[in-house]
Amino acid sequence: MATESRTLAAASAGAAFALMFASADAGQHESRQLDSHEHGVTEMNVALDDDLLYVELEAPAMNFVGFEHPPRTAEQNKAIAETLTALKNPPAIFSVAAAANCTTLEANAKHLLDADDETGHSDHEEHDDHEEHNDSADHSEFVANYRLRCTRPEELRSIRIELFDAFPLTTEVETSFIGLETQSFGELTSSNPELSFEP
Amino acid sequence: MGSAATVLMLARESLANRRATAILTILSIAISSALLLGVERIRTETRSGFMSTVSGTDLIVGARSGDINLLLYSVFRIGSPTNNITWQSYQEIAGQPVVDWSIPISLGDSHRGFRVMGTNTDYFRYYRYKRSRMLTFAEGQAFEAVFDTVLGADVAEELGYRLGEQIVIAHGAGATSFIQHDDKPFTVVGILDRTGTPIDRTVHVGLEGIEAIHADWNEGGRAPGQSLSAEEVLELDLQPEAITAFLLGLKSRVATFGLQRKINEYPQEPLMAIIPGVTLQQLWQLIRGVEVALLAISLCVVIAGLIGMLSAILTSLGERRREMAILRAIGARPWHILALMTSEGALLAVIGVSLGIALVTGLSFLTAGWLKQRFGIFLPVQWPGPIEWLFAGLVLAAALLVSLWPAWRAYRNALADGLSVRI
Repeated sequence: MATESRTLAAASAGAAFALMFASADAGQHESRQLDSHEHGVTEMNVALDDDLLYVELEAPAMNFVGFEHPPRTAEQNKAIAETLTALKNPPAIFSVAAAANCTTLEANAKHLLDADDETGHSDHEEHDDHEEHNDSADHSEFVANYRLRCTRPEELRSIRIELFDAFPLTTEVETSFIGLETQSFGELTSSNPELSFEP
Repeated sequence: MGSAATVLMLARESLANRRATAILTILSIAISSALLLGVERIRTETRSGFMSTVSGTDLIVGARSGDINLLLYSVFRIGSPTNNITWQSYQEIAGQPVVDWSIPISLGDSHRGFRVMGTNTDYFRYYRYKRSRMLTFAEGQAFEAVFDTVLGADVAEELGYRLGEQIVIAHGAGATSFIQHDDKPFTVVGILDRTGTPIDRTVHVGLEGIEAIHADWNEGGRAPGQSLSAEEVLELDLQPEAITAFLLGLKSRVATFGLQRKINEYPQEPLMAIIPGVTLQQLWQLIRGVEVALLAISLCVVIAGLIGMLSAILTSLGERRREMAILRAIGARPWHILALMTSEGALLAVIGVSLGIALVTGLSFLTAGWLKQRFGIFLPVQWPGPIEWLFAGLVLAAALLVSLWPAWRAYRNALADGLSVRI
């Protein structure tokens, strides 16, 4: 795993360089920015607006299926399909207080082979020396978003991440929350899976 | 019941007889518990102070650097910005349909050690602190003219300014500056109510005011032979070209992450957007290790204090064998001896911890002003909170537990010695 990711890192660093020079030729005004990509870390954003709870999730495919290249075998295709099915089932991903009485309005999940897709991703704050490198075509990721309507949103005091059981390669979910009055952030793990909305 | 009171009285009298050791023991408990409570208080109060400074702001946008850096300079006036951002980018982002309101911020000047912040009147309308509280005026109103200024409560109080007074703004953010914008003084038109946040220590002026005092400046200094009078400056176009950062409130929280991503990938200018509460939590995570270390050190000091008490009581046992024997001879039961020794420990601990609480409260009262001035930390003088009471209770319980040991030894001695003791 470690050596594999190191060669992956080297390969993608090479690709990143090639990309940089290619765009340098392309012209002055083209912006050259690459996002970071950290294996094992999944990002989840949670927003609460009145009675609407919005959750979005973004994870390197490595965290869910253990590979990032385009699927080559039937087995790999199956793994991706199964992950997408799991991602479309909110209770397997996260849970909130039952008393809030939330119903899912929408649950979407996608597997993006080209990480430079328009769905984009925000910057990672942590820069662990290894297992992190710039995006290139070698990477793929899963993105999902959910919309829930809650009849008693005042009962929503925290969110609990449930996906650690189904996806043991996911070790950490960086969860951000924004509400009307409070904002919160936590690096959630299977032993500490809950983020309080009240920091 | 009567015998319990007697035991307590005996403990008190016995302690009074060994005054010097007792006072030293009490002092060591007081200082160690004061340290523990003080560390806890500073930890919780800085947190809640930072937390209450900004409320209801969905995003803070500045030049791309570190997110904690951006949070610290834009809201807490700590540190300095790396770059300015262009007015054009500000206009483009503030004009997005999801944006409800925006507050531009321009930093870099100071007035006698207080930071000067350029902004517009939306600041007074939309800025919220401490759970949606609005800024209110103690006197006067928001600035209107270019050379108007609104002062934070501390600025007005410490410098003794009143409405109508003229003040001069200095270039740069240091406490003393040799370059003064003295040809263009500002008039105090408003003083804000106290907020308990860095706003109290800020001089607010309009963005045009910031632009105006720098209008005849070039390359960071006053251009020779080109000085413009205050009247001439007003003729100019005072639309700023750059600001330091801006705050955004969105129509819907749901749009926050999308807009944040858009700003972070803004192609025309390297900008960065942060959610203040999220970045604050990241800052706490960063310093959590230091907090734990501080707490561990103060716990060790408490343990050292308790061991000091234990050794003082144990040492006294030898010299008090006769005291115990006499007590037994005049009718004290062995359990009376046990109670006497435990209540002695309890008495020392209760006095020590109470003194510790008094010490912390007194010290926080004495240092509050200095902490505010020096570090921008607002430490309210208040009664200990629930966690502090818990800590105090734990120290007490530990002291009781510890004093059981000498009590047990005295009890055993009392049973064995009888009156046959030879000293």
